[in-house]
Amino acid sequence: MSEKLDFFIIDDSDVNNYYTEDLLNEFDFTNSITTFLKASAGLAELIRRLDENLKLPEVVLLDIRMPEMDGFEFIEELDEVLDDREFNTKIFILTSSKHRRDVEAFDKQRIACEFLNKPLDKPDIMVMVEKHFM
Amino acid sequence: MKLNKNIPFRYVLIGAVFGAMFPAVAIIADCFVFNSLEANFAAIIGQIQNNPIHLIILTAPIILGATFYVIGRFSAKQRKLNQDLLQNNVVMKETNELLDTFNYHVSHDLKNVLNNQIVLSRMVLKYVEKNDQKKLLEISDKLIQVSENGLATVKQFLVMSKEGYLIHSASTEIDIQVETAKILVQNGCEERIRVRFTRVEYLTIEIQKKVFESIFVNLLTNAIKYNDNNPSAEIQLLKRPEGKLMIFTDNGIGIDMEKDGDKIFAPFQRIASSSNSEGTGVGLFIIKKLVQAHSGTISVKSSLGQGAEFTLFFPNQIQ
Repeated sequence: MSEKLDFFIIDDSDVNNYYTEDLLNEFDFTNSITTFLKASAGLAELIRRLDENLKLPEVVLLDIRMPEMDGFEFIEELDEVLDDREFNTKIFILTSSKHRRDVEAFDKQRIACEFLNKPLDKPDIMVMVEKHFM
Repeated sequence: MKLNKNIPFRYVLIGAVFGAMFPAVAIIADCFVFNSLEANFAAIIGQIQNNPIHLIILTAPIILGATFYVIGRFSAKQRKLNQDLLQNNVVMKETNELLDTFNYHVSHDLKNVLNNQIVLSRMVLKYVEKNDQKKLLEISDKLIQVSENGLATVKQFLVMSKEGYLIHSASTEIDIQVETAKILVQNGCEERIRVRFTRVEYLTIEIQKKVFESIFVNLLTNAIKYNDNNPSAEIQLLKRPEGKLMIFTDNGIGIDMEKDGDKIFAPFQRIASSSNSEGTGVGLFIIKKLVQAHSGTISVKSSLGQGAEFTLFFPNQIQ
């Protein structure tokens, strides 16, 4: 792997963020972790970095069921903002339920690359990093 | 749907007209085909009196009318059954959809609770190995909080599914101020929110105790959850000629009525978020259902950052 990875975690569950952050910190490839309790805050930060040509995170871990804006609304809005702009950040859906409705919504979109089940553990993260960043 | 009364009468008309054709044909045949009578009224009457078979045939419109009436009634009933069936089908489909949604949210919320417990337990194991007491304490605190949240979630879903049963249990006269104080203590809220009765025009209300408890627990926990300052609530008990008003005002983060006004009483809507609001989104839905089950109404006035005012009205004649 050429460089270290920056992570965004977008999830309204602070316990899950607390755990995922702790888990990611165990890996040498982790450079930074930023957590957002609201999808809108995470989206605003991504757009700001895009607009100001700042470095984007390599990975976004995105929960689905959140108040105000849910994971799929986040994806929809990001898709609109991106249009044809280059965007190399990998977005992973991170959810505790693989409900039919969520799987259908996942299949319809083109931004998120994988569907991960909560809770993440070390092997999950290693597989994910090996597949996409090595 | 009501039975269509016109259908049997339409059938009677058809039966009677059809039946009238038999005596008409018989008389014409008897008078002008088999016997060459003159076409006058007296001659025709004479022929009918001579031949008693005509009297029997003359009953055809009555018999066929009656028969068709029976068929008509049967057909109307059948039509009504079909319409009812179609209507029930629509209701069933809607109910199914609601159950599916309910199932989605319940399983998701409970899974979240259990997942949180799993990940925190994993962290306990990790930091026991590292012998990091400070971190262990922090994790234990979170574990307790997660479990308490889980319990509250389960309780809420139970209330939702018990709704039907609550409606049929008996109402009792309860003292609102005494009961509110009890609810605060029982739910460990007395330290977390300051509740004042600012106007009291009546003391008691006829209501099912569990219903009152559900309504107040939900209002109080919302007031605590959706609040960035020191939660407090004011309750006014006002008497009106047609019933009793309870006005519950909190100092929470408020609701953007323009954006979310029509969503707040719908199930599984989590419109607001603050740092500690991990909810199911069924609280206000439950309150509304329970109030409606007592023939009451609930409305809300609010704006962002200005707290919320819930007005509950229970009419005098509680059914």
